[in-house]
Amino acid sequence: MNEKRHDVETLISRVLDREADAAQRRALDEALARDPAARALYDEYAALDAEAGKVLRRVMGRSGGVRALRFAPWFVTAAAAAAALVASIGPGWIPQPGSATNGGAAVHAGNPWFVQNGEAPTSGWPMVDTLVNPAAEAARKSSRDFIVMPGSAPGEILLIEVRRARPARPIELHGL
Amino acid sequence: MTPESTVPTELVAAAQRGERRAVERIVQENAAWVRSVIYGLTGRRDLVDDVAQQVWIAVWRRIADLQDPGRLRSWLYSIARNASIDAIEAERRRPRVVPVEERQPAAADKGGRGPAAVLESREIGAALQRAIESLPTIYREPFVLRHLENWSYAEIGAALGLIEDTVETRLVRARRLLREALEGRV
Repeated sequence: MNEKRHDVETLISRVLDREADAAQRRALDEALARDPAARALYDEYAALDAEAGKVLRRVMGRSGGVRALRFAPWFVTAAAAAAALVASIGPGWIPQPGSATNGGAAVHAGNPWFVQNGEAPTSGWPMVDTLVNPAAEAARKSSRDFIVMPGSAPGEILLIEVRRARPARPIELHGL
Repeated sequence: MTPESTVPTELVAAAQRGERRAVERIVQENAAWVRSVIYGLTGRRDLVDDVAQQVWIAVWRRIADLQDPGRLRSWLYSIARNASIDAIEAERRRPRVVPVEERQPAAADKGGRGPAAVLESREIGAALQRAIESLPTIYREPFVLRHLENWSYAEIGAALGLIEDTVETRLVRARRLLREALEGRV
């Protein structure tokens, strides 16, 4: 009996996972038709699966399986303007000769990992940093970039700070 | 489609040459499932963001070490797995503060369900989340990948280094454990 139930459970699992072939789907249909307990088990697992998908998408900040970030039009305009500004300064992602911290960074009151839509990091922009940060000179020896990735909630952006050592400039020797 | 086919080998090679946009694309195309892996391994939503950051920093630093660009997904998985294990170990050593949950009063939802139905649905969802997070890791991991990423047994097996039969057995067992934990509430 237990073995039979295990077989039905395996079939149900395979069908719910869309891994069953035609013969297996037919076998399950027949089992469900003749065994009310199997039918109840199938209904229970199907409901559990549907609910689990919803719960996991909610927990991971995905609504209805849509993963695209939503930006307000004003944010898109502001982002385009910022991108144009960065492009006019020079090539790169968001190069920042800023502090010498290592690892991830983004600035947001209450949650240091995230930047909400439209907000810019509150410190570390090139000009300001260069003028006021005493560590800026040392930090110039490395480059600091950000990788942008979706955050856990729609519209949330995760910035990953990455640092690379800048190759030393070759020493130019004159008169040799 | 195999899991490894989603990111072209040329893209990995470009990332290894230090092309930032290539790295960014790799992040964008793999961020979601890496987060699922982290959640599947840790069972802790509050760790996912931090561990994901660690993963991508490690990827950025070590992408040149990836010998076979065609194995990107397996490589990413191993980094995510190690980072998740490290995070869990670090959490074990740290005294944990459990925040008091802010519970919103139940109100009728947009679908016209009454407060009692909304509350019941919310409670079932919370119970199911607790049950998923309480699953042993070997069952939770494939379950999360199946339900969040819609990966096939073959894809899950390729990423986790398991044969398909093992993936299937673990999914059957995961469902059974969840059903037992919820005792017919779903």
